Amino acid sequence: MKVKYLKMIATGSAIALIAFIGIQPAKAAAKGSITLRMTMWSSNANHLALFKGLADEYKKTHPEIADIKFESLDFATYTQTLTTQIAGGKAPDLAWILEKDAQQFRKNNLLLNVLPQMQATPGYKVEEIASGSLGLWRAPRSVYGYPFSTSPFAIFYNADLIKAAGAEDPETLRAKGEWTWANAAKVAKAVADYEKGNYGLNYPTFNYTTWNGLASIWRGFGAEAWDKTGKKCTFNSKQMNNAMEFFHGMIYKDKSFPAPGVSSDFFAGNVGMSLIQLSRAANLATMKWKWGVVPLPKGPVADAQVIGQAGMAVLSKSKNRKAAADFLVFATNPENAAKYVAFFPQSRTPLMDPKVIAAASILNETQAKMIVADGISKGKILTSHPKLSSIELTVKSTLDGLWKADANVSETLNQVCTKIQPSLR
Amino acid sequence: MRHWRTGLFMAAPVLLGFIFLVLYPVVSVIRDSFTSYNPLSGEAAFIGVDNYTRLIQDETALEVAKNTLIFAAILVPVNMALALFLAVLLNLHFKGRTTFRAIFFSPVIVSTVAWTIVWKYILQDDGPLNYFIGLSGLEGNNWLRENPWPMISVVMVQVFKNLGMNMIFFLAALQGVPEEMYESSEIDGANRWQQFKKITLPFISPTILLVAILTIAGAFQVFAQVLLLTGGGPGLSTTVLSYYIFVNAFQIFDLGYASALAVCLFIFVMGLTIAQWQIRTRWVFREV
Repeated sequence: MKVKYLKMIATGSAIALIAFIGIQPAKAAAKGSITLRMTMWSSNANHLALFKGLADEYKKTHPEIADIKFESLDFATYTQTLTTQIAGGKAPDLAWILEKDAQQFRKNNLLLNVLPQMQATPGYKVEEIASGSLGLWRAPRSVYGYPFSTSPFAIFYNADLIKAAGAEDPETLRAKGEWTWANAAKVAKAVADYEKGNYGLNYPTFNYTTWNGLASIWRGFGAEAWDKTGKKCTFNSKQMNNAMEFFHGMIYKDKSFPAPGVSSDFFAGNVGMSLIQLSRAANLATMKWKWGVVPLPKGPVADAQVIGQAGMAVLSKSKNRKAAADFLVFATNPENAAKYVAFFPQSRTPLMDPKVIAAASILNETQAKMIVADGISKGKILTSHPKLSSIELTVKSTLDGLWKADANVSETLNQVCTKIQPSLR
Repeated sequence: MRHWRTGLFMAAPVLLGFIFLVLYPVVSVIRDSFTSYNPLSGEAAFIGVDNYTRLIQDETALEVAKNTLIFAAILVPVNMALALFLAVLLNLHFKGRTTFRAIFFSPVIVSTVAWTIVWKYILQDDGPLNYFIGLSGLEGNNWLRENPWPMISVVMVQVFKNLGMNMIFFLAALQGVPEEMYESSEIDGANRWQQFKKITLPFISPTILLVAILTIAGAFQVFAQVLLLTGGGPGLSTTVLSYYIFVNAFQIFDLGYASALAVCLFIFVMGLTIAQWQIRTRWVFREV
C-alpha cells in the first residue's frame, strides 16, 4: 500500500515538475546578444541592399539581434562552400538553398521546419504560397524553407545586335510561332558570324562548371537525366543524344556559344542572347541598347519551360534557430515578399499578377505574363535528386568529355549512365 | 629531477601543440576511416575495413593515384632542376643579382590562392598568354581544358610558386662550398662541369636530400591549385589524391571513405620519406 502511495506521489510530482517547466516562459535573449548570418550566392548591390534593409527594419523591433550579416559566396562553388561550413561546425543560421540541393539537404535533416513559426505569425498567409512552388520544401505538417525566387529561365536578347547581324528578332519569331531551338541557333550563328568576338548565345550559370541547368535545352528535346522514379539513368536516351548533339554543334560547329575557358558578358553588348533568369537581368535597366525577352524556344519534342528555384531556409545546426526562424518569417511575410518582386519572381499568388511584376521589375506587363506567370504555370523545376552529391561530380567529370571539338557524344552519354546507374538504385 | 621538470615545462607548448594539432587529428582520421561518417547529417557507424576494401576496388581512386604520381614525377625533377640552375646562376657575381634573387623568391610570399587565380586568368583560352602567342603568329592552346595541357599547367603554376624557396636552400648550400676546393681543382686542370659534378654536387647533396624530401611530400599534398585552376578536370585528368579526398569528404559527404584515402596517402608519403632517408647513405656526401 505504502509503495502504491509513494508511486502516486512520485508520478504526481514528476507531472507537476514537467508542467511547471513547460509553462515557464522562454527566457528572453539579452539585448544585442544574437548575431545572425545568412549565406547567399548573389553579390548584386541591389539584392544586398534589399536584404540589409529588411535586417535593419527587423532589428528595430528585435533588440536581441545585434546584427544580421549577409555572406555572398561564389555561385559556382556555393553548395560546396556551404556544406564545408556545415561539416566544419560553422553552419550559417540561414542560407539560400538551390532547388537541386533541397532534397538532399532535407534528407540529411539540415533544414529546420519553420511551419510552426509561419502559422503562429498573424497575417503570414502560408496558403497564399502556390502549392506547386512549395513542392521541394514541403512535407506533411512541415515547411523547410521559403521559395523566395521561383524564376523561369528565359532568353533575354540584344535586339540592336541581332538586327545589325541581319537575323530575325526572337520576339518576331515567337509571334509567328517559329521560336524553336533550331531557329534560335540560326539567330545565334548570324550574330557570331557578324563580327569576330561576338557570341550568339551564352548561359552564365552553366559555364561548364555545372550541368543540371542544361535541362533548359534538353527538355525541349524530350530528354531527362533520369526517369520519374529517379532510379534509372536516361542520359543515354536518343532524346538526350539529340539535345547534346545540337548543343555541341552550337559550340564547335557554329561557334556561336562560348567554348570552355572563353569569357563572355551579355551586358557588355557583344552577345546576342543570354539564357538567364529575371533575377540576373537587373542590369538591363541601365543598358543603352534595345533588349527584349522571350520564353525558352520550343524543342523538336516539347515546348518545355524550366524554372530555377531558390529557397531561404534555417539550418538545423544553427545555434540561433529560433531567432533565425523568426527573421525568416519576417523577411518572407506578404509585405516583405512584395519587395522581392523587382528581382525575384514570387510564389505568393497575389505577387504573381503581371501588373504587380511589371510595376516592380524591368519587365512590361506582356513580358511579365509571358515569362513569369505563364512560365511558372507551365514550367518544371530544374533537375534534382536525393542522392545528388554522390552523382553530381561523376556526371560533371564525365560530361567534360563532351566539351571538345571531336567529342563522341553518344559514347560520352553512355559513359555517364554506366558510371551513375549503380548510385541511382 | 628538477631538470626533468624544467625540460618538460619548456617543451610543453610544442608537445601540447603536437598532441592536439597533429596526433589527435591523425588518430581521428584513422578512427573515421573505419566508419561511414557523413559530416552533414553527423551520422557515423562502424563498418570495419569496408572503406579500405572499397578503395582497392575503386577504379577512380586508381586513376587519381596515377594522376598524383604523374604530377609528382613531373613536378619534382622540374622544380629541383630549375631551382638548382637558378641558384648556380644567382651565386655568380654580377650586378643586380640581389634584385633577381628577390624576384624569383617573391612568389613564395604571395598567397597561393591569389597566385593561382592570377594564373587562371592568364591561362584561360582568351587570356593574355594566348594573346601574346597569337601576336607571334602561332596559335595558343586551351591550357586548362584540353589534355594534356591542364596537368602541365597545374604543375607549372606549382613549380613557379615554390621555386624560390628551393632556390634559396640551394643558394645557401652553394655558398657553403669551400672556395679552396675549386682553386685546387683548377690547378689540377678540372673544367667547370667537372668541378660542378665532383665538388659542388657532393657538397650540396645533404641539401638536395632535404629539398627532395620537402618537394616530394609537397607534391603529394597539392590541393589549392587543382581546386582553383581546373576543379580536377577536364574529366579526372587533374584530380590528384588530396583533391579526391576533399571531394569525398565535402562534396560527396563520405568522410569515412575520405579518411581511408587520407590514411593511405599518409602511409605512402611517410614510406617514401623513410625510404629516401634510408638510401641517403648511398648518395649523400656528408650529413650536416
